[in-house]
Amino acid sequence: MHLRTEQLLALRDGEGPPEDRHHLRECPQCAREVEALGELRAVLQGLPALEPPAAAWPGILAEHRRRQRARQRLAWAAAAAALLVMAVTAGLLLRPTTTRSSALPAPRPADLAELMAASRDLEMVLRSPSLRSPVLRPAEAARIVALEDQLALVDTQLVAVQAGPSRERALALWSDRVELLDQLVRARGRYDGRGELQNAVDL
Amino acid sequence: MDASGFFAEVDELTVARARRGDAAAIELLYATFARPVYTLGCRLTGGADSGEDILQETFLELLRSLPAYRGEGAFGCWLRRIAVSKVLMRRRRARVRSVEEAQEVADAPGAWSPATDRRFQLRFDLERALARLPEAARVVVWLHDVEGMTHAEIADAFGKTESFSKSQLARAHDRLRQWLVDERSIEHASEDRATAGVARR
Repeated sequence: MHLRTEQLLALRDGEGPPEDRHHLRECPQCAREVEALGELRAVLQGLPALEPPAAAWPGILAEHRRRQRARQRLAWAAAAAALLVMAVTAGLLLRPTTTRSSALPAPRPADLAELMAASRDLEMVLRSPSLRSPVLRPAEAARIVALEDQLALVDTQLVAVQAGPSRERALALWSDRVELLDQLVRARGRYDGRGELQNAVDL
Repeated sequence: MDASGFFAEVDELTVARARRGDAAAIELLYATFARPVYTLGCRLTGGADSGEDILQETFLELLRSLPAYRGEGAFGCWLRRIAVSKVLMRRRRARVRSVEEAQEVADAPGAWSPATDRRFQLRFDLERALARLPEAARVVVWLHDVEGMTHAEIADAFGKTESFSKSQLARAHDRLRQWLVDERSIEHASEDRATAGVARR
């Protein structure tokens, strides 16, 4: 009775129970098998290393920068949203129960809530796989980058403004944000008129 | 010499600079480890295109995770763990679409010429045989026999038991040996025919 491959491999690797090692000493056929398994390993180890394409590294760096920017935008948006929620909550709690002291008409909470909801909906549309076409014309790509930069700027301003008292400014910035997101969606896709999105990249 | 390029030496200063975002140090790490990562990717997935994907995903993960690298163990081993996890993630995604046995591919077409160097020919046959293996068996035989990973380490990477790793290794060797014997039988038969033809003339 000869040893199975799994047992022979264990012996090749210097393992295996004493009874298998004893069998190996007594059985020339199994000894040859272990030797052959060792030779095969040696040939596998001798297979040459493969050279990656020369253009791989610049591509990796470009993709890293793109992902980094996306992560930063997401972080800013999350921070802005969190601050806004805190500000709105604080505003509701501290609102006087009699007359408004400010001369400026404060935005109705519903306006902000609607803008935030619209902003969230548009971001979900932007994350839709159907919009993620890897191939874009240079002009389209440049426009998308410009819109994303403006969006990042608005997010930065939103973070700053949420710390202050100006709810009107927040309303304006959230309006800008919705507008920019809408333009981004239009730049990367188009609606077919029935509210369903279609990929607009025609090449 | 180590069969695995992941054991290439890299000094701590380079790693420390790379962790701080030093572009030259990061590029040096790429220059040192791009070949082993790409080779591993190609060998484990059985293709150059998927090998390039593994190269990209591994180094993107390196760029993202480098600040969190604590210097525990050799840098190359840390990077190899990332590369292997990328291969296995890719495999899990692929398994959603197809059953594993369907990944056994037919012999890749290509220009083949009788090589005078027997060792070169064996390598050539072995490369083709490796590409024909089911992916799990190919990954295990490469990680164990070339990269020198233990069954425990391989089992950990797969999220399975050591028995799984051992049985996949045995399965891979049985198939490789059978295919190589078949290749040689065909080759010997054609050599015999050629010799007989010369003798008749």
